[in-house]
Amino acid sequence: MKKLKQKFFIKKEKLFLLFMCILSLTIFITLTAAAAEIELEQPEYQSFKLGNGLQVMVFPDHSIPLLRYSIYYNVGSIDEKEGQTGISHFLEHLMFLGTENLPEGEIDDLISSVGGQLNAATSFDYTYYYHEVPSSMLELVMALESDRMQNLRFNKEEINREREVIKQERRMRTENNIFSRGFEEIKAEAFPDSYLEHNVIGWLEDINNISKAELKNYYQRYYSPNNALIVVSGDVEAEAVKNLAQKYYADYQSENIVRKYFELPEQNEEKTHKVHLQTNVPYALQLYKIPPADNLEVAALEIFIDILANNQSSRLKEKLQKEEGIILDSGAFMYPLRTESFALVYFIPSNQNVVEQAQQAFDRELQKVFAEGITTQEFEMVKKQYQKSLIFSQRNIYSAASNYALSTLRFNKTDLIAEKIDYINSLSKEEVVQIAQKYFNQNQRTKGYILPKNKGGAQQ
Amino acid sequence: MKNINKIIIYTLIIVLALSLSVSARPQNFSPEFFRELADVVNEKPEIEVPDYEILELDNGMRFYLAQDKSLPIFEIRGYIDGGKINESKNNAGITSLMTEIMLLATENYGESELSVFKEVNALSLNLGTASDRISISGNSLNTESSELISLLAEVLRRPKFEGNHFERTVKEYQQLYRQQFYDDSALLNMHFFKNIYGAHPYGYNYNYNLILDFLDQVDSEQVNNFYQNVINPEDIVIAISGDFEVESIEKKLRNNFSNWKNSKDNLSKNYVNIDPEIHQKIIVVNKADATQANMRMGYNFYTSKYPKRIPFMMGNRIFGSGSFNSRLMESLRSDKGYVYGINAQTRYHDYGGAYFINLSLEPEKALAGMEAVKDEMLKIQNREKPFKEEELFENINYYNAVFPKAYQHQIDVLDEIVYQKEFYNHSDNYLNNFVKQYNGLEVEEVQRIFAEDLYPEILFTVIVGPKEKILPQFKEAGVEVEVIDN
Repeated sequence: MKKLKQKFFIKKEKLFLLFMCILSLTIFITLTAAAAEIELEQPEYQSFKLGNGLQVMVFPDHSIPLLRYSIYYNVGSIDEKEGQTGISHFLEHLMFLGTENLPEGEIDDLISSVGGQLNAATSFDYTYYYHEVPSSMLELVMALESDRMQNLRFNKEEINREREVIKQERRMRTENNIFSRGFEEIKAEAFPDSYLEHNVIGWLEDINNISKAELKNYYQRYYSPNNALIVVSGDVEAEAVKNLAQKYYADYQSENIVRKYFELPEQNEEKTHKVHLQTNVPYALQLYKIPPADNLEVAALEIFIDILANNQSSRLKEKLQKEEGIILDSGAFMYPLRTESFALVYFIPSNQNVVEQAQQAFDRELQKVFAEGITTQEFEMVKKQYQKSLIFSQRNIYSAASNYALSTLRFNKTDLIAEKIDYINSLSKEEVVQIAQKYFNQNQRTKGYILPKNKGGAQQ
Repeated sequence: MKNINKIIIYTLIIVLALSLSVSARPQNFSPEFFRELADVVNEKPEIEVPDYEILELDNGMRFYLAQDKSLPIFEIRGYIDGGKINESKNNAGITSLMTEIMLLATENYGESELSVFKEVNALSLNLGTASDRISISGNSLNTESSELISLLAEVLRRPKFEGNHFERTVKEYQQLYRQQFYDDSALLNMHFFKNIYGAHPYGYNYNYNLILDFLDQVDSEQVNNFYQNVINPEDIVIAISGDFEVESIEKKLRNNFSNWKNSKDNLSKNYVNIDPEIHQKIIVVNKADATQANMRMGYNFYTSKYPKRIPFMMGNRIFGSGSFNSRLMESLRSDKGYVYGINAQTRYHDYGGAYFINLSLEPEKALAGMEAVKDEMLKIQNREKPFKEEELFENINYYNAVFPKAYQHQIDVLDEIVYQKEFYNHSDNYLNNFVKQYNGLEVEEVQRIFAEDLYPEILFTVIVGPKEKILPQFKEAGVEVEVIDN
């Protein structure tokens, strides 16, 4: 192990000759590392489009006799209007209740009977449904989704019962989780009167008031073939998918979808918002505006947040956690969408008495990175980790397919991942910092704090 | 004549066009149509057992090595026999603290140096603390397999417990455990499991007060002594899969682990004592700011060696797998709209297990939810609604479909083989025997075994939520509850 240690840490007490050797070696390693490019092994796939605008992508992988059939609709919570927050997610729930042709529960029963599973998810900018079934069941899932695309049943009694289920989901996921509850409020303050003000699940008042007519109208407006993308991955042939897509979807009419204008309000000065909840540990959140996901600068920001907050050797963990002991942890996420969106950088101050001190230390570290830059080692570490994750992702065709699906759905760009890798390969560490400086600007930041409601020690 | 030909041609074109148009239109969808499409019986899967070699060192440490050159990666999974079971009332939580520190710093690497070493080489290494064993998992690209093995040796053999990282981690743990009193799921875990497992190490681990007492007085020497006692080569077994040459890896493993000596004491392990006092008991843990009742209902259950585990598992899938067509979901979500999700779980440990049902719902519906769960249990037990053949078929068909996916990667198969062989004396063919057994089940057998081990009359229930909204319904029904003010 000591040998290995020498590979990366230069010992001070070396003789001059040895020093020169190591120096030469270091230069060699640096040059080699800088020259090492990230490589992408693209999965084989075929794509086609029906006359009504429905897009289809097929990713064959015959290693096991299963397939995943996903249908993405280009609609999510950012498309919702005031008073109807949560309607995309509400509609997702209704999609499981039945159609004009299938009674309630039958969709689940059919998929269960073949040994499959199905589920769905609603996001900020898309909604998707998936089935994982034996490969012989391709026609079943294509027919089921075709039926759900046009013939959904809207029954008032069922809608009201599902409303209660959704309210319980909201209690479970948002209201009774300290971080989620505080984050919901802070994000609303950061992006008021905008498509990012509310979370996907919506405000409780709106969930209570969304009507059957509104749900039906929303469904008819957005669940059309030209607003959908089918992705089939696994043990499947493209020709079979093509034939069945023609059979089950070709006759559906496209819709004229008029979208609202997406723009986040300009922010020229820093905002601060505090939420007081029953918690012992405080949380500090920093929200910044980021560009749409097809802007390649997003890749530079992803590199930056790993160096700043996510890596074990990140600046925040090294300085604020290990050295000063004023935070318990740090992390950062990007939420890239088809529109402008946000990045969240957070740290957890050790206790409520050091919140301000931790915030000042955070600001100092950020300014220090901006002023002094990132090191070659930090930059190469992130790239190496990214290369590793690309290689490991080749083991799962479903996740590889979903990456391609999202860039196709959002921007009709199937090669966005390849573009991103070319961009990273051409990026310098100085550019990473310049781009971070552009977006992680103090005037465009919202600082949010989740603080203990009651002072005093923890209850034991 | 030409005109007649034209008419025929046009007629043919029209007929063809119409038939094309008809076939291009969606089918007349109906339940029968879909059922016809859904007619499939999945084949019984056959899991391929990888070719592996066993390397056993003189100190008893064992490695299972299996090449897989499909991708340039290197993966390890492993186990250290003995987990939280080795703790006592006076050192509750020490295993988790020890494993956390082991991953932070070693005799050769300071905390920051170790982080950099891992990240420069894109190494992943984790230790997971469970009741009976500590799990090991790690991976790297094949070009860094030597670095991963060296890291593993550093972490297992040369952890450093003295230093700033120790003091800081203890403080972080104190905050972490204090925070548990503000989290409804953590409170539910604490009050449920500390009662189910009582004065047993499995229970100590959910007693955050005990853990905080320990953290208040722990020092690095105490953790180091515990480490010397519980981390020994003869208790460690590791599976390795990936793109490597066996001879070369064996050499590296020998170089890194051969001279590691065992130094353990014999640690006594006891079975969980069942406390009948908790049967039928209901505890309400008051969390005034909660907007839901987070609940768990259950009882003590068999150990890992429960012989009817497979039929019980299939019965429990029908009852409470959490999928939409399980009994509990159909009743409490689809029919009543009470819950978003509900499931029933078995938790097997070597010295005593637990069986329980998890649900969360509106506080005012807590009692109705409890009764609905019991009702579903009774309907199975008294055969008012016995399991149907199609329910069992669906679950077997599901397992046959997903098993190949669960064991798609060689490391997952090797990991399972190592675990079952080393700790339960099962054969290499454990997975295929498992497949054979669940495929051979009959619905009557599953119904009988599941009903025999279902005990709705002794359910112990913990509800975490606002007492003001929860207690009136119990008072009105004349049901006694114990209230704990958090």
